[in-house]
Amino acid sequence: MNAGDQVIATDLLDTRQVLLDDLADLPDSVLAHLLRRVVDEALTPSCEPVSAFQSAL
Amino acid sequence: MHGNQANIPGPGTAHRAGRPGSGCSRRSPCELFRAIAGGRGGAAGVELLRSGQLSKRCLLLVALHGRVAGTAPAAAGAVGSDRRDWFDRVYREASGWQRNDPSRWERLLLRPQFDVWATQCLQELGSGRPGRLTGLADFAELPPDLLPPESPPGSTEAVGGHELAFESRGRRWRLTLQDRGPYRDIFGYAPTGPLGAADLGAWTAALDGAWEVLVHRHPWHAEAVGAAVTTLVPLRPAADGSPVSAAARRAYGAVAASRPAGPVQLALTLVHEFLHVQLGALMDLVPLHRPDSGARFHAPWRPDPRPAGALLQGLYAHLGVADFQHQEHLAEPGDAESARESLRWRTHAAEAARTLLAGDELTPIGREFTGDVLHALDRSAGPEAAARAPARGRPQKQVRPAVIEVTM
Repeated sequence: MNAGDQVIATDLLDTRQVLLDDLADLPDSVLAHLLRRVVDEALTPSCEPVSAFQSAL
Repeated sequence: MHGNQANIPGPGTAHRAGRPGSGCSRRSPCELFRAIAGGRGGAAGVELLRSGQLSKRCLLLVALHGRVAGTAPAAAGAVGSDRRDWFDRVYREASGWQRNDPSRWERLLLRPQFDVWATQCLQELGSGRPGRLTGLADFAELPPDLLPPESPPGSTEAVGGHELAFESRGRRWRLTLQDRGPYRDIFGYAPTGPLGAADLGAWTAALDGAWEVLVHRHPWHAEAVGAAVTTLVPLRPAADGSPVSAAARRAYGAVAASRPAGPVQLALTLVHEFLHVQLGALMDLVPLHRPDSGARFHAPWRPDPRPAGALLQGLYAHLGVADFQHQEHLAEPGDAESARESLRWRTHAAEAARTLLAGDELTPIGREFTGDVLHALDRSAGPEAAARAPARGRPQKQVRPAVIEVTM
């Protein structure tokens, strides 16, 4: 990544711009990918889900 | 670019859509990424990550609604038609908020523990259990005709607490001291019960003092903490009386802590836990490490070896600690303790960063991030070390193709 790059790589669609009722208008594959992404992460988290950062400074 | 792709508004757009007065400045996504990696993303970094949280949580709600509507017959019986119908009505109500009352919609999604609730429901539905769907009422400001059909055990008290506001040098911080309601036990420590007047007064004074410390001596952290941390869950101290604090991966916007001895310690705790929260939100946008391979690494601050993700979390939070202590030392040069602490945590974090960079667990962008953290650690070593630091710029081969379009 260099200063000339103006973007960050993410595959999480910015759904703030999309109404719930309009999500169905997305191509099935796009919506399915997005939902699978968040559900898979919820069901099989790649990071420690909670309470992982207990601190005692 | 592949067949399925969709444009997403870049963070610049997110800034334009940001809350009035949020103080966000326009910076390119890469500048923001670097600033976040350096622990100084400020309000603009928070706005970027907040937009990611809104998107993720919206999708969680959609996924949950889809699961409930399509529940298999056996599980449908467990959910119950009354709860399923209620959930559908609330979902449609919320979709109306999204169109007509966006601030209400965002308040719902950004309740810190909304993510925990949705995830637990998905997990329970996935295993044929009914899921605590009516828990949505804990977060949503529902009209009377939409209250849950029944109050399941443990849901009689909505997420809530004391609404506090602090101000220093014109900078305000609004915070909910969440001493009641569900989901306060997700931090791994025992939460307090509802605070009495004396404890509430002590917390208010402590937070007021901590805000003063942040605004006066750590303004970049004050900007970010003030924008991101909306909730503090008070915890009981450890059995030996020592203070504890925590952040949870699925509670963006919340930190948890017992009441430390003084305002500086509380300010430090807020910075430390905020950085955990911030890194979790960043990893919701871009994976910085690969799925856990089982590899474990030495963490200089712990006796037990840690997975890469936990090591990354630790070194990032300790960047904040080193930075904080360095600034404390600059503010009070006679304070040898802060100088020692800055050196200690800078050394630990740098060692952890080099450990990760020497391994294969980081994604390319995770390597970029960790390299930027390492560079920022030099900042907390003072101007001499910064001058010794290598020039910016890293091999281009490590860079993942930059996309503001979403490539599926």
